[in-house]
Amino acid sequence: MNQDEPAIRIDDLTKSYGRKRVLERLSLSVPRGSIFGFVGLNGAGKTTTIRCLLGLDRYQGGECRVLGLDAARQSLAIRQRVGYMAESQKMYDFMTVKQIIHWVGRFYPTWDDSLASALCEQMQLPPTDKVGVLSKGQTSKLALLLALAHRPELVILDDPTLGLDPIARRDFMRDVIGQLQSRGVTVFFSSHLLYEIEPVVDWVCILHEGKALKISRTDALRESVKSVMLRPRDGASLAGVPGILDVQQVDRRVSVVVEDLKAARPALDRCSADGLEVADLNLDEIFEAYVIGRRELAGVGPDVAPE
Amino acid sequence: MSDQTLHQSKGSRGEGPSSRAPHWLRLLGPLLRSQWQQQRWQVVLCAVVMSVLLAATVRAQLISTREAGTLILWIGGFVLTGFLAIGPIGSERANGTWQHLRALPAPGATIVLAKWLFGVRSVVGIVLLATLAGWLAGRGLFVPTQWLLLSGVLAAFALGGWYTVLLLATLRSRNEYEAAMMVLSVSIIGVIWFLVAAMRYSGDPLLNICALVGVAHPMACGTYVFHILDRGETGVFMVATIAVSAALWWIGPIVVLGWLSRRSMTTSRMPEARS
Repeated sequence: MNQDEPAIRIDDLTKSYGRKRVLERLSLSVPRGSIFGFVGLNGAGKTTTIRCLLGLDRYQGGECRVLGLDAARQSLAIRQRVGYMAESQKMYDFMTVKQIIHWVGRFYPTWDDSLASALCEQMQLPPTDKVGVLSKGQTSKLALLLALAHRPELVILDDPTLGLDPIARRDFMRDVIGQLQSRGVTVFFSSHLLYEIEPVVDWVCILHEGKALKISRTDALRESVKSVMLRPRDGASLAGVPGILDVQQVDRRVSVVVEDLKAARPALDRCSADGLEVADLNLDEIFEAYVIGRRELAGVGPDVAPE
Repeated sequence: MSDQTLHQSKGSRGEGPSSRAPHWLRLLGPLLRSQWQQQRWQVVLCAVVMSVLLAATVRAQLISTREAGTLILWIGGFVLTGFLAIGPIGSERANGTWQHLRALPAPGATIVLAKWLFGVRSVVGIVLLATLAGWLAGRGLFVPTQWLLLSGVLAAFALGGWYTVLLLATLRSRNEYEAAMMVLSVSIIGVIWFLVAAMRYSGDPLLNICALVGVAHPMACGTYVFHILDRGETGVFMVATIAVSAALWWIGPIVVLGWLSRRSMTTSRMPEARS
C-alpha cells in the first residue's frame, strides 16, 4: 500500500435496500494513523457504510478502498488485514472463550496466539466459560480481543462500547484506543455517544440520513462551530447570516449556533442590539446542532420564533 | 490493556503440516468443526433413532425386512434429510452468528461448502449406520439382509443428493421457520417430481420425457437403480443415471463451490499459504 494513500477512501458511495436509499453519494477519507469518529443517529447509515467497507454488502454506486484495496473485489484480503468488531456481535455460544479464540485464529495468517492469551488475561475473560454465559461487557471484550489479536493495520469498530458499563467504557476509550493510536494503527469507529469519543478522536464525520453533513478535524470543528447569544435589533432577521445550524429563542434573546463564527460574525453583529456572547460547544452539542438543529427558524426572524 | 501487551507479544502461529493446501481448503477444518459442535446432538439423535428403529423392526419381523427398509431408510431418511437441512443456514441467520461468520476472512462459497459437506456426511453416515444396525439385527433370522445392505447404500447415495437440493433451497432463508417452509415446499415438489420419474415405464413418449427429467431427481435415481439391481439386471441407462445424479448432486457442488472459493481468493489476492 502506498503510504500516502488514506487508510479508507470512500467516493460517492450509494447504497439502497430495495427502494430505500440508505447512503447517498457518501465521500470521505480516513488518514492513516488517525482515530476517526463516525457519528450519527441510529439508522443514519453507519453500519451499512462499515459493511460496504468490508465487502459484506454490495453497493450500487461509488467506490470504497480500504488499505489500498477495492472493497467490492478484494473483500477477503481486506478482512484479513482489518480488525472488525460488529455492533452487538453474536458469537457461537456453545464454544468456550478459549475455543472461540483458537477457532477464529485459524482464519487469520497473522494471528498472534501469545497476544490473544495476554489480552484474554488482561481483559479478565474466563477461558473455560462458554460464550453463552458471558455478560454483555465480557462479550464485547471478547469481540474486541478477536478483532485485535491478528495485529490489524486498521481497526473498524461499530459502536464498540454498546453494552459496556461506564467504567469499562472509559477504560476502553482511554486504554484500547490510546494503545492502538500509539502503535500507529488507524481506528475507524462509529458511535452515537459523542461525549465518550470526544477525548480520543482526531477526525469526525457527522452522518445523517446517509449523507455526510460534516467531515472535519475535531479541533477545527470545535474552533469554528460556536454558539452565539444575542439580543436582536427590532426588525432584524437572521436570514442573511451564513452557516446557521440552530436557532433557539431564550426570553427576549436568541441563541444561534453557527458553522463558522469567523464568516458569520459580521452578519451577527449587524443583527445584535448589544454585542455577542460567544460560547464553545462540545462535540455532543455540535452534533445536535447539525442533526436536529432548527435552522429554518433563521429565516423567520428571531423575534417571532416560537418558544 | 497494557502497552506492553500490544507491543511485545510475538507468537504467530507456525506453519502446520497441511500448510501446502490452499488457504480456502484449510478453512474447511474449523468450519466443519463448528458445524459439528452446532448440530452434533441433532445428528446423534437421528442416528440413534434410525438405527434402533430399523434394528428393532427387522428383529421383531412384524413387517417384512423390505418394508422396514423402505419405510425407515427411504421414507424416514427423506424426513431426516429435511430435518437436518433446516438448521445450517436458517438457524445461523436467526441467531445472528451468520454475521460473525461472514465477517471472517473466509469466502462465502467455502462456508457453504463446509455446511454442505457436513450435512451430506451426516446424512450418509446416519443411513449407513442404521443399515448396519438393521443388517446386524437381521443376521441369523433367515431374512434377506443382503437386500438391506444394497438398499442402504443406495438410500445413502440418493439422500445425500437430496440434501444438496434442500441446502440450495434454504440458502437465502433468514430463519429456521423460513428454512422449514422451504424444505417442506421443496419436499412436496420433490415427491411430485419423484412420481413423474416413476411413470417412466408407461410407454407414453411424453411421460418418458418426464421420466428422463425425473432421473435428475436424486431419490428417483436411487430407487430406479435399486429397482434394476434388485431384479439382477444392469444396463447402460442405469450407469448413465448414476453418473447424472452423481455429477449433479455430488460432484457438482464440490466443483462449483471449490471453484468459487478459489476465485474469491484469487480476485482478493489472498495468500495461498500462511506466512
